[in-house]
Amino acid sequence: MRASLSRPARAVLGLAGCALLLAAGGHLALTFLAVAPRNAASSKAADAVNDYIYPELEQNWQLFAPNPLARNETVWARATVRTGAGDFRTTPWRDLTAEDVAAIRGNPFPGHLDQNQLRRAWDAYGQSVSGPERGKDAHGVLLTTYLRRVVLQRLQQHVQADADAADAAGDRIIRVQVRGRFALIGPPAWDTARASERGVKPWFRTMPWWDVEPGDRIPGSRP
Amino acid sequence: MRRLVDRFTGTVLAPYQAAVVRIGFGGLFALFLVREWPNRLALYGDRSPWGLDLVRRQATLDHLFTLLVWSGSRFWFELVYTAAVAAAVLLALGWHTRAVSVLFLVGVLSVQNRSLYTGDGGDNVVHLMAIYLVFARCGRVWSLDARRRRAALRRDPETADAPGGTAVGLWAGCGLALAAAQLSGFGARTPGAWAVVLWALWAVHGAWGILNRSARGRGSEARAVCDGIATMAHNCAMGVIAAQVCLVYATAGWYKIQGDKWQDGTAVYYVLHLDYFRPWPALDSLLAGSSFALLAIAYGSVAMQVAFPFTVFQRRLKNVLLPLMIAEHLGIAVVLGLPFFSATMIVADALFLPTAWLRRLGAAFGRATARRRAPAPAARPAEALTLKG
Repeated sequence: MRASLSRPARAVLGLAGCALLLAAGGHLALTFLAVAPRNAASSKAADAVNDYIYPELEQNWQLFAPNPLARNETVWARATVRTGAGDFRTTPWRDLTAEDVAAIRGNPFPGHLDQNQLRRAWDAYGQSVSGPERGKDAHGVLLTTYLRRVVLQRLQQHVQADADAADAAGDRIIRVQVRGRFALIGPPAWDTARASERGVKPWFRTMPWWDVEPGDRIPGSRP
Repeated sequence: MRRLVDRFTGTVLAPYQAAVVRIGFGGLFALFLVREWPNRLALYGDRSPWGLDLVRRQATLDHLFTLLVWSGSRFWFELVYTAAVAAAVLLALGWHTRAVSVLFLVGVLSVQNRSLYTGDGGDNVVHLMAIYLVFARCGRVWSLDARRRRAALRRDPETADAPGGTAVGLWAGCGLALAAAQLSGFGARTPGAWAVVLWALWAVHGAWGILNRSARGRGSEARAVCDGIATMAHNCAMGVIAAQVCLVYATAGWYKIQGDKWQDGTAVYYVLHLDYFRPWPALDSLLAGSSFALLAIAYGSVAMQVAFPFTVFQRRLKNVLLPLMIAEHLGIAVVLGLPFFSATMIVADALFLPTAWLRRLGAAFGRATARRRAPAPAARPAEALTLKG
């Protein structure tokens, strides 16, 4: 500490220094507890850690860990459309993830819209539904609405295009349904220990029909 | 011990590394926003399925900070998005760094928190660094601030630190904006703690400006104390930034060790077959054909990530480790189609490069730009020197 300063000035500097070191140390300690596996200390301080870390200091670094996802999940959707003439028809299932994947192919700078929007909407929905609240809590309701809107927005563009092609104005989606397709990547050829995971047929999980609600119709985002 | 205390209170440590963080993350966020410009409405605006009603509900539930919930109008969105680009560019340039670093933070949080469910690891890194940068004296070198200060020192060393008209105007403008946000009721959509934080930062900047305005203030003990506190805050922030990067790698590495696919070396095979991270399938098939290469990549990355916190403070080891990690992230950028995420991690790696390397890099950059400006390089050697800071 600078000797030229008066005693009170040095005291202020000393106190401030201690406070800053404490703050930095406390921040790192809480951050460490947030990223560490659940342990004796972090479960005791779980509330304090969560209150401190969320929402602005979120830590999420388990990148492809402990294991990378061993399957490709694709989101399919279909809709019931009320036509301009007043009839109802249900569209065939459409693989929405395939559109993302096609946009990423050969693109050196894939954007968040193609790489993250549908993928993370589906992930977050899945996590909230399989969580303890089964998607019924406030966040679960938000995430269900979000997934419904993501697929609605994309289906709407196709329905619109089809209607334009058939010159059938006034087609309107009244409900949507989502299903996930799970396809194991399967082990590499030289991996004999996991032979049982080879050649497993993809399976689907189908969600209930969701009625389109007011506020769900957001104009399309893709040209 | 005494020397340690003196350095902590009196020396702005790692100024070049702080500049790397500032230029790196400011520049990357600007590039990101420009890259997403065509999709900005679909990601963060009125075309996003994560509609205003949803984000407002989430902001209330989770106490999120984002200016974009204040209004759903197109004009407000474009204003905030454009301002976020401007703040990021100005931060990278080091223009009134301390004030702009706060504006950058507001921009990053506003855009990212508008649609948290479209982000990924890269966004998360930028988010945290934007917060830490507010506490760092990151404009000491390689910045417009540094250049202005050098010019002022040449004119009159006495008044070099006195705030100029732009600084005062910027400060007053920020105060007016804060007051307007609060009085108009928009601020009610933002967690109250943020108002306290932003007003406190504003007051600190004001006090510092006042202390530097007059000769008496500049010579005062109060200024010396404030200077010492700012230096200590900077040093703490740099320590936290370094520790945060170590925590990122440690978490990524230690959790991988527990995974059986990383243990048997097949993990990379699965990563290469994830459709969302597969822009070049032919390249992936090439890599995925060799069990040996995959094993080496898997073990190598886990070893580097786990070792990172323990080797990065050892000069000779880190000079080998860092180029390897940067090379790996360049590979990830291309092979997995994650250029933005990889670039943020490269900046995080670069933060640990030795000061001598960084200075050489800066000098080379200074020479290159000086040559471009003045065709005859020998004519203005002084300019080249001052540019590198």
